[in-house]
Amino acid sequence: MRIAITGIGVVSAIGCGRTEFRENLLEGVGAIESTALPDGTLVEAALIKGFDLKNYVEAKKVYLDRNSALAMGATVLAMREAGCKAAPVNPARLGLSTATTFGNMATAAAFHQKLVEKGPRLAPPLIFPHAYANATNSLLSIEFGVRGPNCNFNSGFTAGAHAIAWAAGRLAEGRADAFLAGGTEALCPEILLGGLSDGIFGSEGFAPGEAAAMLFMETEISATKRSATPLAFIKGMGFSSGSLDSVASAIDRAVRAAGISARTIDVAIAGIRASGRIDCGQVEAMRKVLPADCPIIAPQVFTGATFAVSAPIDVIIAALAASDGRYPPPIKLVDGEIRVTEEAINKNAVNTAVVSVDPNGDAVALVIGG
Amino acid sequence: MARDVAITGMGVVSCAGNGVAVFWDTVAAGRCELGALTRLNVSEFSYPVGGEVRGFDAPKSGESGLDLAAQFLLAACREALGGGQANLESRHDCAIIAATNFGSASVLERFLADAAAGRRPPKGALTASLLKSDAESVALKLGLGGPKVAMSLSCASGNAAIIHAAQLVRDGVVPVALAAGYDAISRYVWSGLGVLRVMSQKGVVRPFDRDRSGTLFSEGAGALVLESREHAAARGARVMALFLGGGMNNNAYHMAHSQEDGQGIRDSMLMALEDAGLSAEQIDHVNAHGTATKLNDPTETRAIKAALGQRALEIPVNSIKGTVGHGMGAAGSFEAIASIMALREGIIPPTINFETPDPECDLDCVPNMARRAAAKTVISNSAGIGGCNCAVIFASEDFR
Repeated sequence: MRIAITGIGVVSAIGCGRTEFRENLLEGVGAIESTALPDGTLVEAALIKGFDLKNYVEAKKVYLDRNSALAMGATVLAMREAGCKAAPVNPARLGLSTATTFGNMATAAAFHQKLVEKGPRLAPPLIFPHAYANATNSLLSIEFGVRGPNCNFNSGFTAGAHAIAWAAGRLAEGRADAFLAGGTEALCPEILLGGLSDGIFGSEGFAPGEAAAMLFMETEISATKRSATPLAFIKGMGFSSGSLDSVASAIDRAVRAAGISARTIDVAIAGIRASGRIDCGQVEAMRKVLPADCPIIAPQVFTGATFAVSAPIDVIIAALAASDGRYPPPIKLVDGEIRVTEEAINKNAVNTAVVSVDPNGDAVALVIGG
Repeated sequence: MARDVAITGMGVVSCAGNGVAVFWDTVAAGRCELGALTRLNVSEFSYPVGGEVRGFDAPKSGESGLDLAAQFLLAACREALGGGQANLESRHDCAIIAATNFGSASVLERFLADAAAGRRPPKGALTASLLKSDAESVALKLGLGGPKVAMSLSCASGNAAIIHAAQLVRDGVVPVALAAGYDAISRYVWSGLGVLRVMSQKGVVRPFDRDRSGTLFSEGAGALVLESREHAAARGARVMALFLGGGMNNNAYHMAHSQEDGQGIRDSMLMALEDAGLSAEQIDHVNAHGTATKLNDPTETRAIKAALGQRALEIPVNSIKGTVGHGMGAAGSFEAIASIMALREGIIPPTINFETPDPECDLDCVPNMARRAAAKTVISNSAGIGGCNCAVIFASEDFR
């Protein structure tokens, strides 16, 4: 399998657009900070400041959940970079594969509030369709006229990897010429409060982050036909489930699918959130199959835990590094804790493993290379 | 790797009965099981009629830790795994693909009520309200060790789960996968569906009838076990039908209105035919989405004609929504099960409540009475809000 990545779009707390995002990431700039909830509770989170969809889309939207707006911004960037205006793809041969864990929670909360205030008969009809978990996917389809194969995943931290893998699979099958694939997560007070109550955020857990990231993927034939220059290629993917060791199995399956050995993986980018036992176990499991000197990058240390967007962001980092070998500062396991101990690295990597894992034990690995 | 995937188990929880045998009896007989809602205060709503699951005693089943929607999902999956000649006892490689519109919406509603009132939600409430939690809970209770995938493609979700499960099996990711669609009626859900103004105020669902007045939603879950034919043979499982192909896309048109020319539905059917390697002439039966809304039925009629050409006029095209209602995320699963049973039993279930033909819906909709027909293949359509379309094709186990 060789699926070309010819466009990327990222909107995150450490930067919107590839230049700002990457420079901050390479500098090790983090965006996690204390945020006050309406009741005064403080929570550590990485929020995107100053995002305005008007900077990305000309037409004014009557209503748009922030989750959908972030996704639209990232998609505009990916489409622009892939040169879709200059060399369009047949809409019926352009697919869309999206991911989100929390969906449009802010809209669900707004609808619920109106339901409480006015009762079922007078609940607002406009916003209810935007509360569906597929709303963002549908809005992107409408906005960009995407009529090819379509899917939407909601499986937490692995959802973004599933979305990319699904797109790659359909491209490999010849069901589409090109695909938009990625994820989006917007945070709202309800999510932050709920995450604190659940113990997944805060001192017991990790700091969440807002982000949207989208890839423009296509077959090599399509890229050649459009004279689009690939940033990198998806070469293999692997799935596994069960315990923390599933990470190792997923990597093993992905490298075999790519026709290489795990020992030829030069850098790993992992969905590590710096949240204790699970992450440490993940690092140890990865070490079982990766070369001893293989650096491990954990972008969520800087961006916050971006759930369904984590894998799309990691693929973007790998794709950008494929051309110049520059990676963000790696992490190390020190006294049972995840720590960033070095500066950004330069490595002429041939193969990068992107490893996505959910606390439920599911893991998806992707091999990205030049 | 062969592209055909075996269906070796099915399970259903619905207003038309709990269990495939009861469900099929109801659907084949064309008995309407919709009625006044009992769990909601119907005086609050403009639409008091729907399809509630009855006779489902969750606490007795020991599933009280789950929201009603997840309990439906669990029960349907349990029946699917236990069905057939050979139970799926070794489940460490079995994936679950659980697809829904709203998931555990009652949990979400309580969570949002707490948050709106400034109360700290109880521990676990946010996590339990996420769509992924239902797939995880069911996997844990059934000992499924494969990937746990949550999906949402509105009312096309049930078919989307089937397509993705089949792809995981075809790609060799897992040898066996459960594909399930599910949803439950709750105050939040019914309020939202009410404001969409697609439900019948007359309280009756008349697909393809000139005087159709809208759909009525229902709840429940449907689950199918999909596995490679080799895997099924190795474990001695009975093959109930074959999944031949599927297609899913989006109209790319409007959030709440379907495209009148039916292009999106047509394209999803054509994608399914291509995936199955079939021509239109090889399709023997269509189980339509057939919601009985003013817009859907003529739109879908145009789409079926455009996809199947002359063949569309020669084969039965039914809708079971008059009987079981519109099962939201479970709709595709209900209709997949009805489609497979139609192949197995040689009976096409009727489109009930049909009185007056509509020239815009001029297909053979099997009005009011079931029909004997030795169909070998069936295409089942689903569509949903936001413009989602999914079509799946099944064939009898000896088709090829």
